[in-house]
Amino acid sequence: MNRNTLPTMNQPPDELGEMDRKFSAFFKAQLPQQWPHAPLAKAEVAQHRLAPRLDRGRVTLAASVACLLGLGLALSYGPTFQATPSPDGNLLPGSNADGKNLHRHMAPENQPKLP
Amino acid sequence: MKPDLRKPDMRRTEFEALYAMHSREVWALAYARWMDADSAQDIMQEVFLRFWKQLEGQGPKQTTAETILNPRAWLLRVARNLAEDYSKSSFRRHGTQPPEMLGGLQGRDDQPLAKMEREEAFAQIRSVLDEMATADREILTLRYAFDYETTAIAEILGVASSAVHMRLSRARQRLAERLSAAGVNQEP
Repeated sequence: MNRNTLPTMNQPPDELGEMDRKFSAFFKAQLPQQWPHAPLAKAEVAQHRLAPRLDRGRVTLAASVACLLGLGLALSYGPTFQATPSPDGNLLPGSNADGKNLHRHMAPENQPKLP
Repeated sequence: MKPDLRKPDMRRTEFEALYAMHSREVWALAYARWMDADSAQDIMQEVFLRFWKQLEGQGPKQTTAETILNPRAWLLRVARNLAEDYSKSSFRRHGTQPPEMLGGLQGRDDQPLAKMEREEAFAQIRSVLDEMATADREILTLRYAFDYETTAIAEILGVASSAVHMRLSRARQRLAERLSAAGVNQEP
């Protein structure tokens, strides 16, 4: 059906045709110049791009957590180092440092004046 | 044959086919309510995103979605609802549209004089359309934006073809009279 086959009572066809052209121009000017694609395409592309990144991210996160847990366990239950004084009273086993001769390696002006 | 929507590829194909078939109708209803092309496009996208989620819900998990027996009716119903909500929220936020939108002026590379006349005519048409009922605007949009036949418009809007014919005739008559009174239909 042609739109010009809808005559109205009070107007001549020419005028109506002109009106129709104006209406048509108006409404067509409102349309997007390029009809948008289905939003699915955008969503799917984004999803596909994100998926490998998400997988890598998850693996990295899992590895990091495993490392942290392992380190924590190793520190908790691993070999312990106890600072026990040696039987001869030295701070480190096998050494003879007792802190009494510290000034021996100091410059003379820095050596403490003993009473 | 009804496509098996449990398969992702079929869902995608079905979705794109329905978008190609009905996106213009959805846009037209949103536009007729709001008289703003950009808002209509936003609403259209939102309608189809929701539709996709519904299709996803009809997949193997069969969790949340209702079964859509009539996609077109579903799309148009959601479009109307969203357009209604959108108009309310937009008016609440902004009160009205900026002046350049009130004239319905889109960027085109016309000569300045022709452009000015065109914009003036469009502003007159818009002001007349703003006073019309949404139902009339729906018919006019479908008719003049997409050149739909009366029968197609009747099918989209779910009314009798004779009713569309009558409303279209009246709407055109009213619009033509008002524009004629405003001198818009005079050739420059």
